[in-house]
Amino acid sequence: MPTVNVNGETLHYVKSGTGPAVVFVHYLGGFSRQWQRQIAALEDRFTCIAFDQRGYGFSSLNGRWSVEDSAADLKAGLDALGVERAHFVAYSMAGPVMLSFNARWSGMVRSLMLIDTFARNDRGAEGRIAESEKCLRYMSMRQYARQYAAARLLSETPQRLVDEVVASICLARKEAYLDTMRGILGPDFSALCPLVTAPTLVLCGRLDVTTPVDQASDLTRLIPKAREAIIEAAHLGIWENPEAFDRVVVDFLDTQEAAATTPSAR
Amino acid sequence: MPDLDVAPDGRYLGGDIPFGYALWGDFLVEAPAELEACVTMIRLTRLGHVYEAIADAAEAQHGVRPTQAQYDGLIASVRRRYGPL
Repeated sequence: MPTVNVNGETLHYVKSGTGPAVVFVHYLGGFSRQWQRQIAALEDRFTCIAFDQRGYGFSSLNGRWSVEDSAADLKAGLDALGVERAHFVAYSMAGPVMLSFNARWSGMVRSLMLIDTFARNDRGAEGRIAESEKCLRYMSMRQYARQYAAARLLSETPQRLVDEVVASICLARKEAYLDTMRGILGPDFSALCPLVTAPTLVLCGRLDVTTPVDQASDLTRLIPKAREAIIEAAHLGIWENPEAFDRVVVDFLDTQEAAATTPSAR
Repeated sequence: MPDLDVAPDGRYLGGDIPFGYALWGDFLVEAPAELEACVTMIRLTRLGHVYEAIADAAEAQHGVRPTQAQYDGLIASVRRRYGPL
């Protein structure tokens, strides 16, 4: 797996395909591999790029995780790969990261997909962070992940996919995981939403209680060129309803490219 | 029942020992069968089962039976961490 050295961290990434760039940004406890199915569906016409954020997957954690640092890592990583503009697909914790990225480097954002995410998610945040901090003092990431999967994934999710979710969370460093919770739960990123001028799709699972539909609707209302799509899933539609999830992602990206190449759009 | 208190370095300081763990010296260590049962307990709670049925299932499937207090403690912690079930 290739790496780039940015901002004192070594980031692992995957890059596959040819064509306009699409950058996938993973959720809390995720890593680049979570996007392999979407990459397989797109790599014949897009250059697909996904980084493991610092502290996740196989990337290092020499400093701390913050929304701003993760956005800066993404920018530096794309600079290192020579990517000037891209479509971005951001899942859950990556929503605030992309809002921060866009606020600084909006010219790089051709389009944006915000999946099961939010501009503000402070419901029960203090208690959620405190309980996770306490549990992770004695609990392994594996046990934390197994209980998370049991609590959050829809019961009909195949065990093979449950195991993938657990395995990816196991790769997360506890410090990064807790820093991420502190960084994204509580702060209000609403003021950054109107700065998103690129076409945006806000995708949410109808059964999502982690980032409910009303939080998606807030994003849609606050981002000027946003529209909303709802699928039958909870927070992890990428695993719970892969067919619907992939269809929305692929259709949106193909539509953006088609619009960019039609004569009227030139 | 006193809440669990754990030092930042993982040392047990006092309070209820969570289902799935045992105290060895100053530290909580994993009780594997109980941790397997925890996953079953969370899943069955989401499916609407109540304590007695869940404890029966844990005993039948994993050979361990949580007390009502241990079950309540697990589910309360899970709800605080991950939100409503």
